[in-house]
Amino acid sequence: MSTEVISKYAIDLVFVIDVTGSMGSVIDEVKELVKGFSNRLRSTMSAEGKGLQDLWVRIITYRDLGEEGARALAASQFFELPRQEIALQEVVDGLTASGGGSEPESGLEALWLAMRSPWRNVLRSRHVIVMLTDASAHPLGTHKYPADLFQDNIEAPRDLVEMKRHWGIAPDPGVMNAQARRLILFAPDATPWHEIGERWEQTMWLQSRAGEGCMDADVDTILKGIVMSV
Amino acid sequence: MGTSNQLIVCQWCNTTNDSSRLRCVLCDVKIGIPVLDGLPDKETDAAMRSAYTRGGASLVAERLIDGRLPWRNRPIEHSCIKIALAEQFPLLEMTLIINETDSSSPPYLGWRWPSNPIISAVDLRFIRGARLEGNFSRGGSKVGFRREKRIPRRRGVNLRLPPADEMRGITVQVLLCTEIEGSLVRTHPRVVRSSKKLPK
Repeated sequence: MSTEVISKYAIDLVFVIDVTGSMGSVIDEVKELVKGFSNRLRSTMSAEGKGLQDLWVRIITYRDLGEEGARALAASQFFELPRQEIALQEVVDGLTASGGGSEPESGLEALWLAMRSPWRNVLRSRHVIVMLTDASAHPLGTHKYPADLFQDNIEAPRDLVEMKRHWGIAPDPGVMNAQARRLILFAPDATPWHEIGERWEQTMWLQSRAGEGCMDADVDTILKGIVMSV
Repeated sequence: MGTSNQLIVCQWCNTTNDSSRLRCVLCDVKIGIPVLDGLPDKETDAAMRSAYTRGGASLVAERLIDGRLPWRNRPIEHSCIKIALAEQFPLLEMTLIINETDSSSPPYLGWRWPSNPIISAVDLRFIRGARLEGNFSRGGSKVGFRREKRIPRRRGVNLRLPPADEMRGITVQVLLCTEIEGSLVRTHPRVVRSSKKLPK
């Protein structure tokens, strides 16, 4: 008789979503995804021989800080699923794709906000950021960070080189837990995503086509991406 | 850099906590939520946004309802109240009973109000032809609407709906509402599940 031991992971998941006009279909996919999300993730993980200890989910949305000021960046709390699934659903149902005008958008500021999330550090933690965009991003330093959204006093990176250092370059672990951090990038082959997708550690880059609403980011692909990264 | 433990002072009670703690060891408020009482006007928005981001939406909502924070009809105020309302859904104890065997018997819908006063009314929507997806529904056409306001000292609501044969194919959606200074804030609709199924 053999007994299979399945490792169970405590997953903190942050969806960073570009909510500009062209992203309507992706927002619909995210709305679809979060319905019964913990059960779906649990069963997808189980099929891959992995277990889910518990799941916390946070939503960060962004447009263009240059056009909308601080309102362009918004972040929810972490929701503990399934206990707070209705509250998470309330946040997601309120998402609408609008504005943004022309590229680029403020994706790097949103990614930094995700990196500075109040992650839990427990046994078998996984800190997963899922970035969904179909547009390039402004270089860092173009616009001011909305200070009230950030949890701590770590100085925000001034360029992509600093941001990569904060993500972590061995042996420097960066600002996140080096074992736990994961980045799943649904983004076009555009600045700065090709640099991040190809050079950052523990990053999975699934290319989307610029301006086409990140069409490959359907529910199954996002779920599989998360499970594979864990 | 790294993930070494830092100490964080709770802004509500000045207790020093290990940064790995989710809630303050003394006052149980989530670590990192800024103080919300007695703020100068110009700091209110930033404090509310910060609290919302860190899991303090209910603390903001509670203060908007009882007037400790001013209601100015801003998006962040709506967002905090919606989250606080959504957190009350599991406490609503709603029952929908449709009698399968006697289609002339009126279905029953009732609930007990949670102790939190944030819910000031419940909107009921009756939708024909909606597609059910878990606790949500899509499509269909609205055939009825009813708002049940919360009456002080009444602990619950008991409603008789139209006969079961008229309710066939009808989905009941519920939205939790707060009325505040002339504005109505309500959650997105969720489906009320019947405890008995209709015959096909």
